[in-house]
Amino acid sequence: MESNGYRWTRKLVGSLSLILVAATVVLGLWITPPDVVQGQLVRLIYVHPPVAWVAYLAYGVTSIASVLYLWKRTRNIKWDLLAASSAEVGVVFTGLTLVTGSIWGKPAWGVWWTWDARLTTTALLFVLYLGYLALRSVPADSHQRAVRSAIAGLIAFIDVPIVHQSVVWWRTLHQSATVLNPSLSPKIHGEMAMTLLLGFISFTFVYAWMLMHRYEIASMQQQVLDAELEQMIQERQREPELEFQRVHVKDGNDQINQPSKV
Amino acid sequence: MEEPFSVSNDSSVPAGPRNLKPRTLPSKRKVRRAWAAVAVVLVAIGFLLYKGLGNSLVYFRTAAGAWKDRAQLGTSTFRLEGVVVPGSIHTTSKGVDFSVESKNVSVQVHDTANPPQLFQPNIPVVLVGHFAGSIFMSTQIMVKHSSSYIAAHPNRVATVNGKKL
Amino acid sequence: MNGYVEAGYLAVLGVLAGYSALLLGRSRKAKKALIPVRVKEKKSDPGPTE
Repeated sequence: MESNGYRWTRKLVGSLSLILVAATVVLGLWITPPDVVQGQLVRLIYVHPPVAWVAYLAYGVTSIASVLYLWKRTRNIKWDLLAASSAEVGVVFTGLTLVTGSIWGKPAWGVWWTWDARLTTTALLFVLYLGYLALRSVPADSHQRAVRSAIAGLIAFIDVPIVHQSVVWWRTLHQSATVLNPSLSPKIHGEMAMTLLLGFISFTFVYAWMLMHRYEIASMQQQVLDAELEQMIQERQREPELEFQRVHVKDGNDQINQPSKV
Repeated sequence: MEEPFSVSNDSSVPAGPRNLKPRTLPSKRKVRRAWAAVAVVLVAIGFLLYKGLGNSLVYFRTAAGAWKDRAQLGTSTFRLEGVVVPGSIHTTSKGVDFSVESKNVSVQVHDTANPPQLFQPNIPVVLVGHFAGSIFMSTQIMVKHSSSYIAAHPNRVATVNGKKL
Repeated sequence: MNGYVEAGYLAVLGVLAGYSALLLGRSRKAKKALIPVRVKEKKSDPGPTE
């Protein structure tokens, strides 16, 4: 089980996320100036690129954890649980990237959606990791599932650099990166740049909190599964005597499952 | 070890390989449903790849490129990109007439759809439509705005050139 | 301000809050499911486990 230190860190990260997100919203909606071309619409930049960045980050963590599981020297079911947890949070943020992008696209471009390379590869990213989660839901033993999903997770990650570079490699309606562009020269300044930076930091904190929480859940569920499996093994090994024991001990199994009686 | 089973202890466990097969296998229905979900996702991936290969690789033709190839393009529908030429915009009853330019090649556009709110001179646009002679008949205007952001009230920024807050 | 901007912020905050609530609910459920396991662990293992 996770230590108290883990819980304490999670709570601290959670509180910080709340404060940072609140600050981003206040700065983004009211303090920062409108843009010369986009007017008020520019305010969406403080949320849209940050949630997209978190999706990349989440899938990066999934990939590293997947490699650590596949590598025999570091193999541990914990890496598999971390990979799965991060992928789930990543899917939430990819969904948000698509939704906020669409909401920005309608007034700025004139369309909710268009099949340009950036949008198409991002939709693909969303579906690829939905596939990863669907694959995980296929009943299998822990190791088989871990290997299977680690490979799937690594294949899906190929799309992340493609999404990021799509605006450079192909002609797109979507604009190129404001900060992480090929020349690495930010095209945003002053309080607008500061608020964008704050947006990146705050949603990263939100991700960290969600990942810690999701991982804790996965870890607890795994412990229950392990205990159930252990119990099943013991029951099987005891099979010849089981009936004899039931005569002497009433509902031995029930006592295990109902702590209130103990 | 196991308290609820007071009779049993380790010696009661028969020797030999452990039988790890769980007694309750996941129901066939559950397995089938999970694989069905994977299949649905694979179909979606296929659809996106198809859409991507069909549209994204050459999302638009530049005004200069399209003008050069207009004989080949005929009246086929495609996306055309160019910068709106200042002073060329004339609002019509249905839409707007204007010109777009790329690499010093200017193409006249007759549009029959409402332009989006960011439509203005000097902004790059992507138009959906086809050539009719030397005029591009547009049915949709999409604004391709830049990735630069500049405060509309620069005096609200404490330092000039946006170096510091 | 501009309906789209508000909608964008609402979508982000709404989805994140919704997912957080879901996580908290799942966490509570997982903790509950774990109680019998812990009781059993304590019974079968007299020493400190972790």
